[in-house]
Amino acid sequence: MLNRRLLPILLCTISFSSCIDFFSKKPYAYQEPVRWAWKPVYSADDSYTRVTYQNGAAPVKRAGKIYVKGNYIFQTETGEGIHIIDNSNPAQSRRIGFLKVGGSEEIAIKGNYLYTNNYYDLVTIDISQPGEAKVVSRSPNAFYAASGAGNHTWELPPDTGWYQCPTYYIDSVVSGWVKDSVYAYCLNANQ
Amino acid sequence: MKSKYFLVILLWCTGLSCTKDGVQREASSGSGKGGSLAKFTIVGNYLYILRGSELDTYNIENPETPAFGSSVHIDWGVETLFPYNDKLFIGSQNGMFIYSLNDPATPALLGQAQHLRSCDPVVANDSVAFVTLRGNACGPATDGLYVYDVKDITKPTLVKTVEIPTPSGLGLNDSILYVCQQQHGLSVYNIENPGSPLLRREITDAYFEDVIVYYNILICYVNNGLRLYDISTPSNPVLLTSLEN
Repeated sequence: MLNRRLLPILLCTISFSSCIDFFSKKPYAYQEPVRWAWKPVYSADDSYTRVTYQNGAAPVKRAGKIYVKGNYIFQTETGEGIHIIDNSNPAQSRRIGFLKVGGSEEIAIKGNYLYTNNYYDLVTIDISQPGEAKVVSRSPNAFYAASGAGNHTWELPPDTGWYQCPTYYIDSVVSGWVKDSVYAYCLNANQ
Repeated sequence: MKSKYFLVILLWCTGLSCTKDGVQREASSGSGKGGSLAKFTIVGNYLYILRGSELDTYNIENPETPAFGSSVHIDWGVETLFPYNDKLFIGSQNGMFIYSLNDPATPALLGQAQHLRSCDPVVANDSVAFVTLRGNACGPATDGLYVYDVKDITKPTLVKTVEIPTPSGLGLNDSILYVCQQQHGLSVYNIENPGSPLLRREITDAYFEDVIVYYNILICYVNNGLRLYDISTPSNPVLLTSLEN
């Protein structure tokens, strides 16, 4: 009981003390060194919003959640998309296609509309013609609990030395590097 | 006159048999059915989504463009969403929450049961809710199948705990309950007396994560794909198709 009462007070003290530190003129004791180093340049990249359909069975690497509607079963390939299974004859069910949707983990369907998460966005996909599956609406950042965000890879700066560690975004990529005075604590020692 | 009554009775019986099945015939404009691990579910014209510790409601009367309606704070670590009639059963890492959908646009808390931290999907009917808790990865709870009496929906009471290793998703088929147990396979319980589930069968040649009971078919999410079992005899699933790797 004592612990329970003390905990909030302790937490408040800690959070307030960090606030005071944050606003005081004297900077916080440890700071990342500012260096003349490489700084990433980001470009908008909405390629993650592209949803495509491919005919035939796709391999299963990380099988995910299941959903059934009518003669079709849907199973997510965690973070990659959705397998479509023809179940009109359950004894001979087969994967007939794959809907590529980055970040996908969840499925629900009403009529011809499939709802899933495209990374953090809630998307509605018209599946009346699977071959022409298309996103008909999108609610950005409706579902932040999804995993697999920021799977972009990036090229290291052109030479060795310190660089600012790139932040991962879904909707932008590192398209280049410029020299700047930055907090740089990533070190490229590979070249 | 008599024939009119007969027709009414016939229709009424048809309705009864539908509810008894526990399976709703779906219209093509209707929604489908998800597993017990789902974070998305559709009831009528509403799409419910678990997001972090919130339950979000979207109106999908116009299914092409879901319209965000409300957001209700549930609990830290909400994981699964199971619709039953006009209720939503929500499994979180700290307990089971039951929400009323009387006003489908704004779900309202009816009752809850707290338990030790764990992973926990829920399935339920009018009188009983089954929850699996898996302690290892998510918290200190004992692995097992937990049976709650929910006749008084505001006060779910624990009536039975069956200790079983690594339970995951589960599916309810009238008096039969399917419990996925990951590397320990799939267990089939007779739950005619829900207070004392009787183990009827175990299938141990696959890693079972979740199931959907769909008419006479048991759709299983296994760790490397999908398996379909014939459950014309619900207590005895017979393998139909395996779509693995």
